[in-house]
Amino acid sequence: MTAKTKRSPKIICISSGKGGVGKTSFSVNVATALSQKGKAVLLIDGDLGLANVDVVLGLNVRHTIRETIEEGRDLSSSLVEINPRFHVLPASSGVPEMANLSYEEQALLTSSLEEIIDRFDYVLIDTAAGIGDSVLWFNTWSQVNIVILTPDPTSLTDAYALIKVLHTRHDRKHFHLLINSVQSKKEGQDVFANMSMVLERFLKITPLTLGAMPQDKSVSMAIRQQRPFLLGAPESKASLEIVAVAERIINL
Amino acid sequence: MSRKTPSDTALLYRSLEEQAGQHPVRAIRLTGKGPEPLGLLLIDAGVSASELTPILAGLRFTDQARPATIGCAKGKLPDLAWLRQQLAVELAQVQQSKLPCALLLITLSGQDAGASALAGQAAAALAPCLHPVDLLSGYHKNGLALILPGAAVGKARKRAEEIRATLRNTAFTKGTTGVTPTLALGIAVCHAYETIPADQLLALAEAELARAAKMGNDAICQSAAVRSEDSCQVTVEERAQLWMQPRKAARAAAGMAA
Repeated sequence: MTAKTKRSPKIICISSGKGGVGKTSFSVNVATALSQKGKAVLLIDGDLGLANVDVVLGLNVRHTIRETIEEGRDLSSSLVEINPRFHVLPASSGVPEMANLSYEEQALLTSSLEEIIDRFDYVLIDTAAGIGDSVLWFNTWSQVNIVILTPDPTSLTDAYALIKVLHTRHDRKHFHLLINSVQSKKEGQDVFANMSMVLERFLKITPLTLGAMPQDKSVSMAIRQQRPFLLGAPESKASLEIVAVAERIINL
Repeated sequence: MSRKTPSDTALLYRSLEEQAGQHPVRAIRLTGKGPEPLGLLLIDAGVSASELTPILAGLRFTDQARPATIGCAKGKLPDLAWLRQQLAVELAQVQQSKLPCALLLITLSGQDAGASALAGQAAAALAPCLHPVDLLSGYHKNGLALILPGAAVGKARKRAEEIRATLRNTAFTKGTTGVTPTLALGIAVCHAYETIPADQLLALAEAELARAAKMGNDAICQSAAVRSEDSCQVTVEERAQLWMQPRKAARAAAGMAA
């Protein structure tokens, strides 16, 4: 790993409420974009029971966060180097026990993460869908909360529910919205405007926009190829937008 | 984590206390001036209180032992003043740990029932269903108070129902005569997003207890305000607003296609 010096990383949580809206694809590609801009990035698979980051990147991992929780294994031994500036901390899949960590396990994971994150400029957490304990816990640990939603009413409702829980129960006030899979720039703007209006009216929250990712065939193709679309199709609409989003994240 | 959630120490201590409850040891919180515990002392259960007191005094910490009050006679149950003190400590913990805390008040009445003796019998009967982190005390002459750290309304209600079932199955006696007291249970909950002093939480629980007593039939009551605050359900109005834009967009798209 090249990022050995101690840093004060920005911890960013990426959640959605509803599943299948593109959290993992976004997380992997924005992490790739940040690393291309010279930033040391750690992407944590926060879906502890049904991990996907390793799948999207085509990694066949031997060790995951699970070994740290269950065997006390050093978390840094589970880190996977994607490139010298981009590391992944994979999680396990098909392990229901990992989806609901006890207080003690949360505390152990917390202290273990604290030991490794200061090597990075950015720590991204790709959480599970829903409003489970681990999702809320990762969100409260983070400094920046990104919520991904699509124009579908189901996604809008679930994203709103997640924000409502985080605001009402955990006193989170600042949210960055990323509208995924839009047909046009205008649709992205309309969805953001509508969500902003509802959040302001009912929760007195003013969200910020991170942008709108266009529908793009290169995205689904890249997922099947288990490769970031930013690398497979760097000139695609989605890639151009993800680079712009990475720039906005740097400027947060 | 230390950077964003200073609650981890509290979570760890609570977890250790829960584990300690499964072994023959006493877990004693060592508290300083702040709400965060300074440490956790595990003492063999065989060490007597008379031996322990001078040791703790030598350490110059406040003894926050828990729970050393279960299964004893009513006369030995801690009183309301102790309850207020413990409640204040737990409510400070709510802000640290971001976990809720519930207060459950229980009274036993009816049939000229020798109230204080019944409360003692109830405390003994409840011993098996208490969790290691629960704090039990007496409440006036005819009742018990139970602090449930980590419990929100749903969990507190479930615990109250378990407790009611246990007490209903308990054979209370007055002298040699069997008695069946009427129960009333009142619940109040404090969440991390609100700051409630101990006296206010006690008053909320007392109001619910009074309501339950009035209803009779071993009722359990919790305040409507608490129920509403505990819910994050997306309302009908919120949904209507959320769906307005996608419906409008779908109509426009259908119009263009036509």
